[in-house]
Amino acid sequence: MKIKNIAFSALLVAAVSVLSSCNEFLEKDPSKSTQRTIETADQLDALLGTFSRFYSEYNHTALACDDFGLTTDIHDNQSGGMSPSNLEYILWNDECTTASRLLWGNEYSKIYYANLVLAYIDEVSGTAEQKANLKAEAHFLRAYSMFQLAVAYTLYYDGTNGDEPGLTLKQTISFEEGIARASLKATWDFIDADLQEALKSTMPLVSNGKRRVWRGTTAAIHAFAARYYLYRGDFENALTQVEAVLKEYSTLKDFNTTMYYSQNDDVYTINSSTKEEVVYVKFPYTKLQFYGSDGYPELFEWEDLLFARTCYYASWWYIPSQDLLDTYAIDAPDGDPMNDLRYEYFIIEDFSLRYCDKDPAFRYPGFCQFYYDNIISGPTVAEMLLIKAEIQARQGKWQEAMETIDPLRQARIKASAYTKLTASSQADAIRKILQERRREMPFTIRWYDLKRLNANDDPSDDVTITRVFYPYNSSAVMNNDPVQTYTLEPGSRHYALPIPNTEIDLAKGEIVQNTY
Amino acid sequence: MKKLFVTTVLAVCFLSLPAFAQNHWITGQVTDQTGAPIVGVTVTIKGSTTGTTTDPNGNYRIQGSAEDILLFQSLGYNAQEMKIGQKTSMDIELLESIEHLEDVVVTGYQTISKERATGSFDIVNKAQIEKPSSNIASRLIGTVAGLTSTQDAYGNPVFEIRGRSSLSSSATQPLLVVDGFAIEGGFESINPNDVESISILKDAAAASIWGAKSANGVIVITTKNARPEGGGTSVTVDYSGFLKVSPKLDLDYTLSQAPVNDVIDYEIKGFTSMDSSIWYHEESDYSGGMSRVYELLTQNRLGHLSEADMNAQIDQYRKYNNHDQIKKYLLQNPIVHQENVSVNIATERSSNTLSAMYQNSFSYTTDRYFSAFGNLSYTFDDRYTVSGSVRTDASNLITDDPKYRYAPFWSVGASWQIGKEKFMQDVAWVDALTLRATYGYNGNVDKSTTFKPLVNINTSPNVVTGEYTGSMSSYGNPTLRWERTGTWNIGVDFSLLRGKLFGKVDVYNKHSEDLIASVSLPSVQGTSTMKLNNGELLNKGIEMEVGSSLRISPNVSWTGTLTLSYNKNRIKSLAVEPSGANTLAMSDGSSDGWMEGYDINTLWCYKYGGLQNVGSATSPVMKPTLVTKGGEYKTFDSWPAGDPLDHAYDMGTLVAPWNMAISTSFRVYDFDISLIITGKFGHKFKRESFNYPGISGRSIPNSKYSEVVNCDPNEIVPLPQTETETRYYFWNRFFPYMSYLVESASHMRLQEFNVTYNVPQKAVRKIGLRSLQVYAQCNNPFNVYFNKYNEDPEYPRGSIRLQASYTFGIKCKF
Repeated sequence: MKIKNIAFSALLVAAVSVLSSCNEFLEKDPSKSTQRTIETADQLDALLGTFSRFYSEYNHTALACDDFGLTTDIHDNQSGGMSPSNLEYILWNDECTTASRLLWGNEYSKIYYANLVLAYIDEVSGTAEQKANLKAEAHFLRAYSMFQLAVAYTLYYDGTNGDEPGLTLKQTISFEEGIARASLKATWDFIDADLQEALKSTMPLVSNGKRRVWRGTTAAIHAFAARYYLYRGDFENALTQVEAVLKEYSTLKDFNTTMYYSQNDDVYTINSSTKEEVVYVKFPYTKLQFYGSDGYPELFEWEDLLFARTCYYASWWYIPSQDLLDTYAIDAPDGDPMNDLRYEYFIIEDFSLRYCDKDPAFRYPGFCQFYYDNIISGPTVAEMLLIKAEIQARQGKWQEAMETIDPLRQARIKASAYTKLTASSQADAIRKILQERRREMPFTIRWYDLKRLNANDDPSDDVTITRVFYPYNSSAVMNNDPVQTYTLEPGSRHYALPIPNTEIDLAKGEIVQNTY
Repeated sequence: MKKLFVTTVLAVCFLSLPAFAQNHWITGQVTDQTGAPIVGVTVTIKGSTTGTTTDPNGNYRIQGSAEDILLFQSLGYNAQEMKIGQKTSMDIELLESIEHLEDVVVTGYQTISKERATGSFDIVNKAQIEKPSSNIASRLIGTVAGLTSTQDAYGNPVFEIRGRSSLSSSATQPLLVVDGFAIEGGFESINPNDVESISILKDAAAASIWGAKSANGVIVITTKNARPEGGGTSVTVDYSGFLKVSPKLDLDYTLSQAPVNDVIDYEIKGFTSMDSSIWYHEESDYSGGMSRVYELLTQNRLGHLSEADMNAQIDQYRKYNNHDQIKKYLLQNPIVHQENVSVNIATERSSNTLSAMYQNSFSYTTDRYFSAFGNLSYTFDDRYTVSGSVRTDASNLITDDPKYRYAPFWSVGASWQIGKEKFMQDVAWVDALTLRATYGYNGNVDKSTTFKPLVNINTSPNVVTGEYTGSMSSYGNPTLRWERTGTWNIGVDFSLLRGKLFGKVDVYNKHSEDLIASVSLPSVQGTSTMKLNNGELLNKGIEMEVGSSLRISPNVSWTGTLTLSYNKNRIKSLAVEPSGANTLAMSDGSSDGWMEGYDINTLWCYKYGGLQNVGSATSPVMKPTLVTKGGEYKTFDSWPAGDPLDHAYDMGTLVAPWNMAISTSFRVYDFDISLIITGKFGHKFKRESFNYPGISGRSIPNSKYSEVVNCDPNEIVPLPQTETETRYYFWNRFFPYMSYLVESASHMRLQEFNVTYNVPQKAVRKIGLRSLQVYAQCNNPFNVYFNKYNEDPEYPRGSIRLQASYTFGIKCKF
């Protein structure tokens, strides 16, 4: 037996015994340049402080609610017509065929950051207080996003339908975590648990003279909690949270003194073939270039804003329904909606001329707050007062309720025409307060209100929405076909919007679509 | 050198025998066939341990008896025996052994006797390495089966061994090892004059010792070391210098423009009909640049210039063409001038080589690798060998889950040297015949992904909030692991007719899995795409090398080799969907074109559907269309919608499955003449298409204008048939991707032709040099294309093509 060459695992054996120190050797992270692994709480702080990533929500419930008024006239006169992908929301379609990510994707990418903070918060260096507040903020961000998703994509949880599909409860940053939708009950338990953790924060809204509305401060967290408890019908807790907010910060933006028109009007020449007219369309000052450093300060300086979130609509024209327009007139002094400064500045007369260039001109208003596309959707002091008033009214203290909203009315109604709003009964007070909510927060809070109002025991506040429009499919609108009536009943399953088709496909069966 | 172990045992026995015969001294000189002395030749009494080596002048002195046989051995030469008899002096001439009998394979970790290696190795011979070049990589082109190369316009090659085994474009090249260390820089960091030998390791057994980075094969380079030469100090100086000249840039090929007349005709024709978006009125400002002819046409249209004047001026412009001036005055012949001096000093104790060594490029990264490996090889009966290797690689680039981090890479191999079997001893025409088989796993690392999330924090506070902001630069894949390739390889090495015919054949199958690919994720994951270990690739093929060497006369010898390889590639699995109906057809070889079940380099195209009437019978509107597999015609007005596979046709592969190289070299007296021809076959490319430019003069119609003007509009996309075509600018999403542009990309190149004159030793020594060579070489003077448009498939028209280069140089040692 001629043995030739044996050179063997003396090396291997040695290596094995050295593995433990090798692990340590390998713990050093690869590649230092500007890319760093997460080691300090300051890094996490910087990530959460990057407001440009967090502030906007592509919330198409704004199109689905009855504040959005679509008519066949608007479609017929608009160049290019209404886009079928928007119609899928406006007309409560069973499917969402748009390729882009929308609310579902957008909110989950914010949840990723929250999970990232939670994954690393125990390991990073930093003071105990900083780390505790970051942890609370992460829970808050996750709860806030999950809440927005739940209001949009799931049915209202009334305690009995806990088995309905809820949301995917993403808790880690791993790509192998299961992504199946949890039950509705489990989803709300999850949001509740996050909220309780968030409430432990001690990070104030005002710090070093700045109102840090782009962060999850105590004012933001309490305000969100108030919104949350009102939605769940827990009036006691909602009230406690409102008080906590108002104790910390209660300034309202007085439209009488701080709202003004922008200097740039849009100018259109219309009706050239008959009686030519030059129309000047006026916008609020906040319509200025919003993106970039010009606009963000205006959002952040909005005096009653507690947490900077806006609702974003890519097609720009928030079409106010006749119903909404009438709501401004109802309680305005002298029935003139122009006395309501919200109507004066935010309802843009003749906005339709931007999209409708036909002759004779089609003139219809639009709604603009920040630029053409963003409306404040984060909690404000105004919302807190309205929550408090509604609860007071529902609890029987309806005169106090009308007092509660008085400061808000003073800040919103033209001072020269101001008269105090009174109610004749509890039911009247509740109705007026609900209308005031609609006037104060059109498009952004309406879907939330519709769901909880339809679900509560009082049938008088139930709303059925109907629209009359052409048939359509994912590629086109059938203008030449007879119109159809689209209806959204109070108990409709369409109160849970469909999850985008691409998401269902990419999840390869793990995520199930809502059923209708 | 044979079995040390056995020799030791036998030596003990022999030493105990009494000496029978009378010993006397024998001296002599050992030279090679040119008369130059060979240093370091081992001179032994055959059958004993008594031995010595030749000194720097080739002289030896040994004691022996008349019956003893002296054995002269030296690496690279055929051993010689001579009976001592009564001689007291014996001068021996050793013949250089033919290259294929070279024993030694250097893997970077070990030096293996080729006989006992079970894996698939290739060694590049010394003569090839020593030819002149500025980049050692160009010495490898066409030398090894399975090592395919593509050169850029400057002659710098990019290599692939046995097809593409990774989805990441940065991780497809073979690992480069220099003197036992894997280097990060490329071939450019190696001084070509320093290279002693190059081995190519192709299969699992060969490369698995390199573990996690070896899935694409390994190229091992050993640099020259000064050799201590039998005592004393010796200093040698090597000088080499060369001058490389190339022809001027091929302007017509690179610039590919239509002749001036055609350009002007095109502008006139298109003025009213095609790109109406650049129509403008006198009142408004037009700030774009425009051509002189377009300006004249506009002036005429606006009424400022009469028709006659306009035509006169246009005719003037028809005569202008500055190409000749550019060629004559602006272009220059590229010339490269290189000189290299290296000084080697050797003593018994130290050996220094002074030369510019490679320099790692500076980058502030801390990639760490840890490896443990073991090798085992056992040969039984001098003909049956089994080998195995195990290696574990861990890196801080891979996740810290130990299951993935310390991934083992291993190989097993066996070889059977049939030629040594008894039943083969009678077959005289077979010198050596070996059958080998190996199986094993190699890995690959893709550094573009990380397993931990990485963040990028801005260094200055945000203007709006006054606080710091940051972003994710990498989401991190917590289960990131090595890409793995499992390869089995079966090969036969043979040498027939006393070395007149030799070669080998290898058949292999490479299965690459856990490949890192960009996968689309559902949004709940927080990001829409992520690089995950997700893909699988298959490469199968056959490689064949056949060589021959003949001694035609004492002063004339010839060697020739033919290498041929075939590789077939297929994506076995990949969870990525093309995003739109147009994505495949527009992929042009990029990752957009990867489809499960197809070759990774598939060329996808639209099929031209001819002109179709999209108006009505009474008012026809003829527009060019594409036709889907389902028979639908779609115009070029907008993006097509639907199934990507319905729109895109598989036209073949962009990377040649067949690669061939022929190299021959003659040694005629003092001249070495060598020739390398390379060829690639079986693949496709798209020839130049007309560029259908807008009429503004900012882009000029290219040389395919006349083809399009005179074409059958149902065969080739014509100019617009309608009076106005407002969507003309949108056509560029379609016309470059038409299937009628596909041509065979097969071609052959005369890679290299070299004539070297070795100045005879006698003349050289008179000057005081040890050796002197003068050579002339030309690279790429001549190509043969198998497409009728005379376009080079690897250098498309409109880009710089590889030019011939002519080199003249000198090498001397003193």
